[in-house]
Amino acid sequence: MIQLTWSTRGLFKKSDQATLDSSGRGMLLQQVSKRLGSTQVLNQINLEVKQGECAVLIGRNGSGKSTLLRMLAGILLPDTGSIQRTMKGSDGYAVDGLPRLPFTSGEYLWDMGRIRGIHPEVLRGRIRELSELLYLDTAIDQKLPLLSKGTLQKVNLIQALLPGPGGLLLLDEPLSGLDTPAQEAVVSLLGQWKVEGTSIVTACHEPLLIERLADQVVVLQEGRVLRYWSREDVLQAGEPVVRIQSLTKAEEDLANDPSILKQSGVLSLVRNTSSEKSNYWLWDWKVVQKSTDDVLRMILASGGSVVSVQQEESQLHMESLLEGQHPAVYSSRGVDPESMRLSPSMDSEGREV
Amino acid sequence: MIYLTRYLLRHHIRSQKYFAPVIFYIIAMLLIYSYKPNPIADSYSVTAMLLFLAAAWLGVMVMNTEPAKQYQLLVLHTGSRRKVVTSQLICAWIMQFMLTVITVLYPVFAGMFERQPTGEEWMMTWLGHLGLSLLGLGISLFFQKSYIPLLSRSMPALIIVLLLSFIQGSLSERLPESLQWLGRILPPAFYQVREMMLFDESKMSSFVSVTLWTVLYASGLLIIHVWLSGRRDLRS
Repeated sequence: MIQLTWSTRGLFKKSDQATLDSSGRGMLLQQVSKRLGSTQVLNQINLEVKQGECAVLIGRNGSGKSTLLRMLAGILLPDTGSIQRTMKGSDGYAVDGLPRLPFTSGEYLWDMGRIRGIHPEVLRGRIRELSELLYLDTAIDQKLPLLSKGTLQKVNLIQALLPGPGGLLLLDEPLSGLDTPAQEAVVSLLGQWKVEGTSIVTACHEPLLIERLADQVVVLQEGRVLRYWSREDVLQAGEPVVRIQSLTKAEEDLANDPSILKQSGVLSLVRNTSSEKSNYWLWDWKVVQKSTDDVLRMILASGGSVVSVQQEESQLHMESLLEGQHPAVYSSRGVDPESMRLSPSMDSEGREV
Repeated sequence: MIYLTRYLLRHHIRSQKYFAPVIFYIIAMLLIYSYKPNPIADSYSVTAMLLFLAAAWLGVMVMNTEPAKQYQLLVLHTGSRRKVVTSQLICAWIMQFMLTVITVLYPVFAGMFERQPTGEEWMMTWLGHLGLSLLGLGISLFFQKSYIPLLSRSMPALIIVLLLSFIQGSLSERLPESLQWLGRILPPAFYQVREMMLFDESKMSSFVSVTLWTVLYASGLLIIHVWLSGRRDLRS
């Protein structure tokens, strides 16, 4: 099979070495390293993304997610290692923060499509469909500098999606700033495109996208791959987390109550000081779903009252994922005592004191 | 590439980054023609020198118009770094060509000269201005953000190189024998302007050879830049 290899010298050259899977379509990074200035931003990265797969890159700021995406896009060239690509189709790339250029959304998308060589009729249809899908509405005629962050992100995504399904899609924080319907629409569309053979590599911290699309989750830390998690690992993720708000009389410090410390299923408990002047203290609980009833009973039994109970949509605990823990760390083992966090208080802006 | 060039040109015009160098140049040119009649060769050699400076300034502005992320997207959409770079060069060249047209035609149509230029003078004027503007563009390429990220560093360095290319004649005379090569590798702006200024006295072959050297020098810079752009990281 003929492959295109981007070697350390940054040149495409032909190679007849078959190193990908039997279907032979995809992208393969081997021992890729990159230094920018004095910082080693990527260190010995190995990654394989087959055609029709979605790889989600997660990691803290500066862990190398965006750099890795830029390298896959061919914007940065690897210092060492190789990038092999055997998939067909063109690339789409959504940057993290589209510049506010002096064009309307419509003009910008039209120009990008024409520069890509998309036929005017096809392009017109695609811009219309994607604008409707992402609820761009009248923003299509507004200038980019006047758009809100979320709307600008929609334009950013549309320009990345213009080539259509089938190639490689690189998305840097694609759901950032989007409203819930637009997030749903994007994830659904990406799901369809995956089925049609689009390979997706995205830096994303939204559990929604990870749960619904990720075939592999790559945890990056200081330019290195800390963990790879497969689809199966993601599916084993913990139960939904439930948020409870309860009231107790002032001075009743639940955070230091031994019976609560022993209660299983409590992930975190912090005092919300936004209503500090009242005679009651407001407490924010985070508990695993199966322990919700026990915790509610405990709150009521101790003389407190329940203000609200709200289930989070995600089953993933992103914080533990970023630390390299298995996606199912909570559900498979129950509450990990070491990860239970009981904080005494939180200020009015939600910051922990 | 037509759409890309059209987009780049429109973006550059809308960004108004052309404004400062173009206004600087036009005001300077109008000052030169503030009285009449003027000698043809002398006037054109001075405007060519100014155009060289303006072209370099305009070149930096054109090359820096696209923000880094948009530049990356353009490369992704076109599928080629060199296509984007070449379109940028065409865009800059179009703007410089328009300045050249104004420079050459304004004094003639405004009756600023003592007489109509001869055929040879027309040729000298067009070749001299186009050659020097191309040279200015060629030099400016290496002072854009993808080579020197900070404008506060690139602009002083650009000004030094431009000034050095004007004093290379006297510089060569003062340099010791072992450093004479320095004068020869500097951009040949000084020799081109001198040939234009002394056009009435000098030989045609001398003017043509200097112009040829100017164009070759500028083309060499353009080719090196296009070649390098395919082998370097994009500006991030």
